[in-house]
Amino acid sequence: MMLESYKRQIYNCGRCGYCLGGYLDHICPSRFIGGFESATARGRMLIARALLERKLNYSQELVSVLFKCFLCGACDVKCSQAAKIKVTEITKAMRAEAIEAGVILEKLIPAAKILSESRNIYGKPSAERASLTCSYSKKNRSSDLLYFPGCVITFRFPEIAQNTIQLLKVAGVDFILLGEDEWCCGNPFLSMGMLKEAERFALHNIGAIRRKGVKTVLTSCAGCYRVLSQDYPKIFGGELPFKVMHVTRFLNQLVNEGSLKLKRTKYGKVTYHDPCEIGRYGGIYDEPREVIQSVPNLKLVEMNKSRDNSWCCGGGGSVNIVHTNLAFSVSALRIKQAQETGAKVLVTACPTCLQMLELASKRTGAKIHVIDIASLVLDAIKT
Amino acid sequence: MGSNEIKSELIKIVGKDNVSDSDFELYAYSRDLSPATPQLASFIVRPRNTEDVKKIVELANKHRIPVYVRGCGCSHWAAWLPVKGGILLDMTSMDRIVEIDEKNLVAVVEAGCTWFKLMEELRKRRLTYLSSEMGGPAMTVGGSVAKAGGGPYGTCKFGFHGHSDILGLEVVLPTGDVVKAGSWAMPNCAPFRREGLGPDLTGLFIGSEGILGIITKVALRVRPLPEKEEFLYFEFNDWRDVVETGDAATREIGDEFAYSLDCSEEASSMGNIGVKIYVFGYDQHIIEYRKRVLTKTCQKNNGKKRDSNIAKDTFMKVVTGLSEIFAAGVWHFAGCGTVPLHQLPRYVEIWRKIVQKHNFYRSTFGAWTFPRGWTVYVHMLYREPDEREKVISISNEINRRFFENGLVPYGIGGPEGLQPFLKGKLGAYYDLIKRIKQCLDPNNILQPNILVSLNDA
Repeated sequence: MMLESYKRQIYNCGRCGYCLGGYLDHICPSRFIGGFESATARGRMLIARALLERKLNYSQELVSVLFKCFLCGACDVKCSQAAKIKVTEITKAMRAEAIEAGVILEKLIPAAKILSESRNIYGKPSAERASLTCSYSKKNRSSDLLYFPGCVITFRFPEIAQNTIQLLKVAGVDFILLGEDEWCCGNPFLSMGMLKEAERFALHNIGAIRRKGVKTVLTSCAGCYRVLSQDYPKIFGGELPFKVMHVTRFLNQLVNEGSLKLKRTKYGKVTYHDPCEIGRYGGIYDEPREVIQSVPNLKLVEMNKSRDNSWCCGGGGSVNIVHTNLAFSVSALRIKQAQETGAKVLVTACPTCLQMLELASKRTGAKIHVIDIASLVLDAIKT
Repeated sequence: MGSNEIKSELIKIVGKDNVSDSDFELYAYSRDLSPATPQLASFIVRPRNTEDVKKIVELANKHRIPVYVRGCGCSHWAAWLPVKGGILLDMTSMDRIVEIDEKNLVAVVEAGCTWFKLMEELRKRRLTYLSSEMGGPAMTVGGSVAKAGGGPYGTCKFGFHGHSDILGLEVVLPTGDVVKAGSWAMPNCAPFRREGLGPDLTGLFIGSEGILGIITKVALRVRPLPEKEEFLYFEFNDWRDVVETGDAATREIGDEFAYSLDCSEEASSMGNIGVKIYVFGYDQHIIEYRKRVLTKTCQKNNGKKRDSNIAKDTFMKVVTGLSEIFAAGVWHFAGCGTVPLHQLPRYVEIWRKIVQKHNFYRSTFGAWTFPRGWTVYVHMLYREPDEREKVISISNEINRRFFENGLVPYGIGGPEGLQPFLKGKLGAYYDLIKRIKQCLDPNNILQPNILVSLNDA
């Protein structure tokens, strides 16, 4: 949707400043890296208003600032208690309008080109998707469940897919994969404002999944989960012919029904990072915690900022493509928050969060090990 | 000096990451919380410390560039909108807590520090600053002091920031001189007393709306955090009864029974007055005693006891955010200021008549006590842009009538703030403020047209 359709919300901003929080690193990572009012939700609403009133035009500089927003949804949570403005949707609409106006940031062009052509963000051949999981992806098999690993897991963290698949096998869960037919979910296009490409990718995936005749799509990626469950129905024009489930919910279900029996692990005290796209966007807070707490000897300690108050990992909103170093500073702060708990292990449930936080942990010399929840659960089964 | 040269000079002072003249940035800083017309500065500058502020002011003075000063931007009466363009200082980078002296119970913060941040740090040390704003987590200490503000939290007992809790200020004068006021001004003396040598210069800057100097640091009295607190909620039907209750709660000056006493009436249910009371103390026996006396007082004045959680919910969110009040639209204040204790009902009547006349019922009249007085406010929820003109018209009427009855405002802001209602009515007092302004700011660079318009007769 374009900006005009959010006019009522934009004019409803009373500039109360609840979205700003009490200090730069309190609520909004965009404010933390941007400093100026344009990097805040409140400031962005005044900019949106000026754009609607034709007092401003999109420029490279303005779009660059729009890409300081991680689309983490923290401001949406704050504003849900006030004027109920969907700031992230409006920010995405501004990015999309900028594309329509022909203003595109140089740094986005190669990323978009690679994605358009290879159908994954790494420019890898699609055949590699199939090879990753070939032993489980026999042709013409049918199942009610389809596992959708997503690009980051397939090409960057294949062990997450392998661990998840192993857990499904242990639990006796039958499933299939799309293999080569799986395209990027379209999340990067949506965050970059390239809606037509996002739609093309979404319609392909919806078609491929439909042809498999599955009832449920399972994913380990928080971004894929959000896009499949929330954006695809809008693009499809109604309810999807399948349910979408994030792996944290599924694992919790398997643990609760006794299909996965967890034993002691080598980990003692762990903390959990809420990925924005399953937390604030999907309301999945309890299930990953319940899974972690099901492991007999684990102690879960919460960070100061958790659940809907969680600090972004720095990987959202394509900020790391445009402002790589600034995005890293957000990741580094999250690692610092994790360290403050005294935990030696940081568990998360999103490969992008894993990527950002692992990097920040290494670069800052933090003595905290970042792992995916499937790795934790697999460890608790093996030991 | 041209715009580019000024920008280069500003960059030399604060670095390129702290200066912007981008069109979109100027729009992002163009409004406060009032319906006033957006005003665009020429530059947004984010000073990092007192030295930056000093250099910026010296540059501005040399080239006669207006300088406006903004905390979190939450004023309700155009108190910082750059009506003359120029440099707009965003003070939020100067948000450090310089010191918390737990022995002498003094905190020193930079002006851009928020009440929220200060409270978080104080609570870790089982301390508190007991008189605070209610504007939400982004409100800065410097902004509050510049307007001598105060929310319902603690005001019943301790009054406003100007009362006794500001122990000293560091201020950059419009000529660039850096001064400390209060005991802080003495050689090798820490801030522990607001008054120092000579007149109360700390008081000169409190409520000055930033026209006499830029507050860069504030020294505040802090107190041990009360371990016990209780809440009461009563409903009244007559404001005269509420006044009697406020009278009893604040009559024993210095030993006020309530910590906060906050009252309000919705226009949609006139005659139903909610009174929320925050009782605190350092000892349970004292709290129980105060609670008993306050309950008796309310009941004697026809108050009906209701669920105390309603009061608790409000008071617990005063600093962290009463955000739901923005849910129904944009919020505009009118008639904000203080009135003598027994004059409260006349203001309620004025408000009732005006909202009835305009058939505008998305409005609340509120009041909270301070020792022997009330702070009053009217807030109105409206839709922008459709209802902007209407709400301005109603608020103008409320402001005019309240001022006619003797309202003392927190501040009057710029030309689209409250200035027009007092124009030509303040006589020698206003002239004195102008003369002080002219003396301290001979080139009229600081906050021009805020509080005083030097060109006015």
